[in-house]
Amino acid sequence: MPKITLIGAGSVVFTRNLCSDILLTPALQDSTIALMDIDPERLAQAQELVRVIVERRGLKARVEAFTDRREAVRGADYVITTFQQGGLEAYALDIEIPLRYGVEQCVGDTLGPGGVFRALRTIPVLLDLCRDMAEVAPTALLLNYVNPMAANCWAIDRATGWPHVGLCHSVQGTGEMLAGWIDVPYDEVVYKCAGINHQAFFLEFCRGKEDLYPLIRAAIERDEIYAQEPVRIDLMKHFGYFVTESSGHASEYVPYFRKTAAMVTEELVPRFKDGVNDWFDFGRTGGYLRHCLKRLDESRLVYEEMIAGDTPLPTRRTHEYGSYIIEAIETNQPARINGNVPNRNLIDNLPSSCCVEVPCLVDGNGIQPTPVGALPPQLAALNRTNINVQELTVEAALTGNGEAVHHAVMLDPLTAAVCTLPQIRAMVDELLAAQTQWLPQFKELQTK
Amino acid sequence: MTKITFIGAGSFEFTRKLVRDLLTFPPLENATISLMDIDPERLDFAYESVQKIIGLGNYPATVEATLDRAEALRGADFVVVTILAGSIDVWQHDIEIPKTYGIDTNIGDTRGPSGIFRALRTIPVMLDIARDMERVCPDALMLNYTNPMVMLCRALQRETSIELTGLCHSVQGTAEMLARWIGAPMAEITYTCAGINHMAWYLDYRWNGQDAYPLLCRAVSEREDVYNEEIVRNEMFLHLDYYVTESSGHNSEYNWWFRKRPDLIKKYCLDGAGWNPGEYAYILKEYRKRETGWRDEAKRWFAQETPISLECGHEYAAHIINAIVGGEPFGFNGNVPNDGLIDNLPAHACVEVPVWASKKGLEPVRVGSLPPQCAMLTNLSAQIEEMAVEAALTGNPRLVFQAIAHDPLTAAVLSLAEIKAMVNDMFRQNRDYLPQFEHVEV
Repeated sequence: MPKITLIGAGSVVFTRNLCSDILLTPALQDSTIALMDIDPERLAQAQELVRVIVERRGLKARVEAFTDRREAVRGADYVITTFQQGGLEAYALDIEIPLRYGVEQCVGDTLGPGGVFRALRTIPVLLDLCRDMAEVAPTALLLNYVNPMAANCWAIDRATGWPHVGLCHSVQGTGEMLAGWIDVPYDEVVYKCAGINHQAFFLEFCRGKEDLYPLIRAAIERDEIYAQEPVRIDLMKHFGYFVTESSGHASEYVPYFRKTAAMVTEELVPRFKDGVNDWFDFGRTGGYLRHCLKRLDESRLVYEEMIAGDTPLPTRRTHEYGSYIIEAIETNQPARINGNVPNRNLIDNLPSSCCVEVPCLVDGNGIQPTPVGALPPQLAALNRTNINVQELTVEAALTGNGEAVHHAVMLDPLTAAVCTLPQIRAMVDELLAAQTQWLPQFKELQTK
Repeated sequence: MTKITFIGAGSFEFTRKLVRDLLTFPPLENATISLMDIDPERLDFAYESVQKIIGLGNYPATVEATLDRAEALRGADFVVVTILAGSIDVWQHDIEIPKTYGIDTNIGDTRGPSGIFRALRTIPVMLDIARDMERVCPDALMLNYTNPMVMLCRALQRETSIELTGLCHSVQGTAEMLARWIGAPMAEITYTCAGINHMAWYLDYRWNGQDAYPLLCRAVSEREDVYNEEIVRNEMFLHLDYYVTESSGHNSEYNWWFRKRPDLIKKYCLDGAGWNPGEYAYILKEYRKRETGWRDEAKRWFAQETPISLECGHEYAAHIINAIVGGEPFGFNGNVPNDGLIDNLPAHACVEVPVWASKKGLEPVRVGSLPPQCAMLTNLSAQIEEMAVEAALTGNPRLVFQAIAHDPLTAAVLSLAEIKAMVNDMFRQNRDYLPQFEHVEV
């Protein structure tokens, strides 16, 4: 039976959902689940939540908890990462410092100055983890859920070549949403989705051989639909295809939507008329950070309800790919997912070795990506503006070259639309100084 | 309702086994099975056998039989092709003419002079089928079992808009044999196999996730029974380090090492204990036997008193079709265009790689590079077959000769002048079956 280790298990709700998925999978019900977090209190909560599931279901699974990463990883077959290096304290700096320079980030975990610095903080930890695996879990597969997905996975590949796949629920989440808009049962839909994480495009969306895009084109003309996803619908109207991450995210990967505070509050926010956009505060700057802070307060309550037995145990697996991948590898029963993997001849018109999100087939042979060919040129061009930033971010994270950090942010589409070069230089310097404690690879900073 | 058309349905045993397997899947039990063959007697037997299966299983499926190909294809969702263009009288010369020049052929249905001439005759027929499909069932998927696999699939992939994949039993058959050798239950084996049809390589072969090649190496080098079962392939494995698909007899034709001298044929190709160690013209012997025996065999099947089993067997086309209509996804090894799948084989050539069937359709998996010692041999065949397909489609006899001139076995035995004379002989013999050639003089 496999040993599955979660790094950053203190994300109690995510840990509980993923472990619930694993424990609802017949082939995995005897697994050893090792939870690791640096925060002993949250770790204990996570362990308790998983233990309760095991106990109530009367399963044989073992649940272990560690604050020592290497011990948690020892002998693991699968290592799943869900940590957030620097926590909300660092995240707040990612949002607040750029805002003083006019960079209005809504989520700020993928691209932009926030995404760049999140990668700089995260990559050293991921590389340490790969070193641990090389020593104590040499056959483990890494399932990375930590953002920024593309830069993190690219750095793992470039620095270590460790077998990994990056996972996100944006593809299947968006697929479900689109199916709902056109009133087609999701299990009758098939799609081909490819690009980069958070900016992949549904190249095909079909029922059997029937192209469903005409129905989507009709649906997005309806006001109540537009009110849910104004940015992604605008992008589809102008670029021709539907993109995978929410309108809050999508608005900050391109220069068109949030160049000034007035544009955000007067033009963008009023178009988010539907309550589903509450989790990123209807596109307002710092919206997702505020959501995370609020969620922190709520998570204790959620925990207490679950422990008290007030929350019923889930009876169905969520749409997260994690448990499906492990099941497919363990049982050799095929599963089809969209995963983030190195671009080795998978998408012809994106740079070689960058991290792409493509259909992957999983079975006893592991994660097997399928080649997509070329993206429509306008989509590849959009992806490349993002990949430019990721490439420089990875370069900076792996070499400790501070200039590369400046270059990365200078080439960020949103920042470049707002700031002058001297402003960007000052902003990056300020971010570097504020986050020194999480940036061990920048030797010059450390000696200052 | 799914319509599945069999072209060459008179392949009695294959047709009834595949139909038996297809109908075990709930989404297919009300399928329309349309059988087509040019031989009315064989077609009748096939039709009766399918009716019997439908009756025994009490399936809501329907079966129809016709000699009219377009009629059979109209509205089909899947087209299974198992044809043989020309009788033994036609293709025996593929083997007998080269023999008079000193080229000793065992099967000759894949590549080399015999395989290339089989392709020259069969490609026009396959193109006709595909053109019919473009008219009457343009969205249907073709599952081709007809050899020579690589050249036929490539010609269709190049010339027509029909989606197809080529299927062969060699990958799973070899995998099962290797599992037996090391005492592993097949359910605990996983592998990645890639290359071209009849010359694909197990890039990895694992038992419960552990590399099983060390066990295989021990079995082949230490156990006489294992070594003798597949002498040619075991020699290749011991020297090239990767195991190859298809029988020893087939493989003995695809390279320079085993059949160029009588002493080598005696040493490697006659005494193996497997189903086809490599004797001269094994295929002719087999087909002549079947030519006389198939009727009795079919009658025996109808007459048998023990209940005929309707349990699903091993015809994996059934699993593929079930997966595409929405059943359980299914992984197999299929023959598809090399669009970014294997780096060190020619782009667009027909390669055999892992393919996924699901309701999304067919999705091939990217493999990367073959080990250089495998890629070298496979490339040679792949490039020769690219030339042969080009020659077959453009009706260029000189290019046919040049393709055959590069065939490793031919080149190891004959001079260029001798090869030219042989190819001219073969062209003269086949003149009536090559409508696409304006003239046939090399």
